[in-house]
Amino acid sequence: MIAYKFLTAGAAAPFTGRPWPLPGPRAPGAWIVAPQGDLARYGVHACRVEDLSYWPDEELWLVELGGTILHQPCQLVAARGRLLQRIAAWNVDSAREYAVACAWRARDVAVEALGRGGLVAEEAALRACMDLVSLQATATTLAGDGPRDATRGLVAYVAGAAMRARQGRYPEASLQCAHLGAALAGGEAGAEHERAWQARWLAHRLELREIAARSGVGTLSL
Amino acid sequence: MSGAIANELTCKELVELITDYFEDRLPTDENRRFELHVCTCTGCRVYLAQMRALVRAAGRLAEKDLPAAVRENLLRTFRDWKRGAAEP
Repeated sequence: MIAYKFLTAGAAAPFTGRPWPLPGPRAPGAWIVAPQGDLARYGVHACRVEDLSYWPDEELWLVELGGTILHQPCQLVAARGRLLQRIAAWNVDSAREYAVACAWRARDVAVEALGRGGLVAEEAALRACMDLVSLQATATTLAGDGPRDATRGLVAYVAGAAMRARQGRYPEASLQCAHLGAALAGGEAGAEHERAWQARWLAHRLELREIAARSGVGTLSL
Repeated sequence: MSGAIANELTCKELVELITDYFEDRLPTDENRRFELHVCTCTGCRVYLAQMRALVRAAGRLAEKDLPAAVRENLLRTFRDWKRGAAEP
């Protein structure tokens, strides 16, 4: 099965720090084999497209998984895995774009909610923002005016997402968006909805369908 | 960072769980929540890296590696602390 894996710089596993064997020009990397025991715990972890937004890191790789593969919440876990190729489209620039996209997504979701709630002035103020500086400033002001209620709570997430996007902190900008979704929907489903939007954004921006097709190792259902 | 997602780990919880994480004592689901949090929190990611470095460095230290002055200073501090704790 073909899947994805986020790694830290130098193709290192994000939690153990162990480097993955790199692929050669025409050959995949060597297999990493999970130790005997609890596969869910000690297996090779990887992502479906819909899991990508939960595990962002510096490098994104196309991986092949083999043996038993468990489909778990937010991740796949396999008995073995190997690197096929690095997805070069995921880099500092696209990560920054992702953070910015999350901030504007937060704005759009909040604007819709404000409109539904009849908060016309607040909706217009957020809608008028043309850059992240004004978005952060406006959302901060709106969130801070008067007592904190559910609506102001939503706007605070917009301010948070804009601030983190300006700093290039894409994991946290995307998390602010997920929090906004959860606050709006009153639970996990709202966060998952936003995570799904983020995964679609990543798949589209990084051309994951095309990369999987070009890799010649199988097709990928997005 | 914490917010509206009910089962999300908070930074405070992460600090409380970090020893169990290092010692591989967290249940699998809790382990995943821990790592999910680290992935989306720069502060906790740095904290985890610092703790890892600390554990690695401390693991290499033996009692004899401690300079005499540092050893004496530590012992004095512990003695004072014990004396203070014993007072009513």
